[in-house]
Amino acid sequence: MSEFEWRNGMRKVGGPVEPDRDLWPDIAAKISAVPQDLRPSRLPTFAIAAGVLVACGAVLFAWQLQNKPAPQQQTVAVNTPAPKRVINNVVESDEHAPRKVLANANDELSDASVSIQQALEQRPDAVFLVNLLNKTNSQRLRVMKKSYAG
Amino acid sequence: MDGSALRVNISIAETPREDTVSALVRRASAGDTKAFEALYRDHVGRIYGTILRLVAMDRARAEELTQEAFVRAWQKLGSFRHESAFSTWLHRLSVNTALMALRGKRETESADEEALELAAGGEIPFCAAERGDLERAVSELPPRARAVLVLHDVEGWKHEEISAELGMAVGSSKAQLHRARGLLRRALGEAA
Repeated sequence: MSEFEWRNGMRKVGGPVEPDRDLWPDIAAKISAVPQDLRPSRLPTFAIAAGVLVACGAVLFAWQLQNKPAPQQQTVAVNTPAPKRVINNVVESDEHAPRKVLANANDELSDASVSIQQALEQRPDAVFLVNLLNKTNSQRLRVMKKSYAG
Repeated sequence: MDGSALRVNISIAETPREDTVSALVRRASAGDTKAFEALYRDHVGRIYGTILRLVAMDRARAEELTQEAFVRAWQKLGSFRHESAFSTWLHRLSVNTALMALRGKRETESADEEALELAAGGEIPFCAAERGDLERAVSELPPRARAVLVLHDVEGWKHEEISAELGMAVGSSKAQLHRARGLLRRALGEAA
């Protein structure tokens, strides 16, 4: 089946769908209780910058972690060029990472996650923030699993 | 003609002009709930439809997330930059809302993904499949594969956009799409 035929078939499941009931009364009740955020420009910049800085800090922290003397597997991790993979490599390669160090890494990543979520609140349509949040939370999960396992 | 087709035609015919939408957005941004209700009525079909497909045709959940998306849109109207289309901004915000909800389920996704990957083979066409069969088959896909399939094949997103939105590599998005299509063909082949 060609791409065209496939897309043509998939159109059957596309298009608008009306909800079974009118959702507006519930939405109206909710928005009457929540204020509009009227801060369109300044806070997002700071929040995004803070989120990215904290995330970078966490990555640098993990990078330092990685470069301390350790098991042989770390040679492979050191040779990995991409910084964003550092935490993964630390978690995967350093089987004897102290719990306190992992806890610190978790705290850094937790702060980064909060900052990114705040930025996302300001720019809910920002695709890159969701991407950044997913990566940060994924790294955090790995660190937490490692902490519990260690 | 069934009811769903009728609703689609009405929705397209009544799509407001962008300058009208822009005026409504400005009024809503200033706190005018009547203007926001008009925006809701203009866009709810597309938003609900997209969310419904992302949450595996769970109508109750889709209603809940649609409400959440519009409440968030109300709160964040101040951040809307008028150089882009409001419908695009709202659609992105709504997809984000649904994906954030799905993200919580990511870790519970079954560990037998590899087995599913292997099962995703064959070239069984689904030309003859009815809309109901297709919707059912799509809703039974694993969450990530479903999200990629819906965003790419139904909503027309590019792999680059999907990969950024779902936090995966472009190659992974393509692989998930391949997997989803394989699983869909298989499911429809078995249903036929």
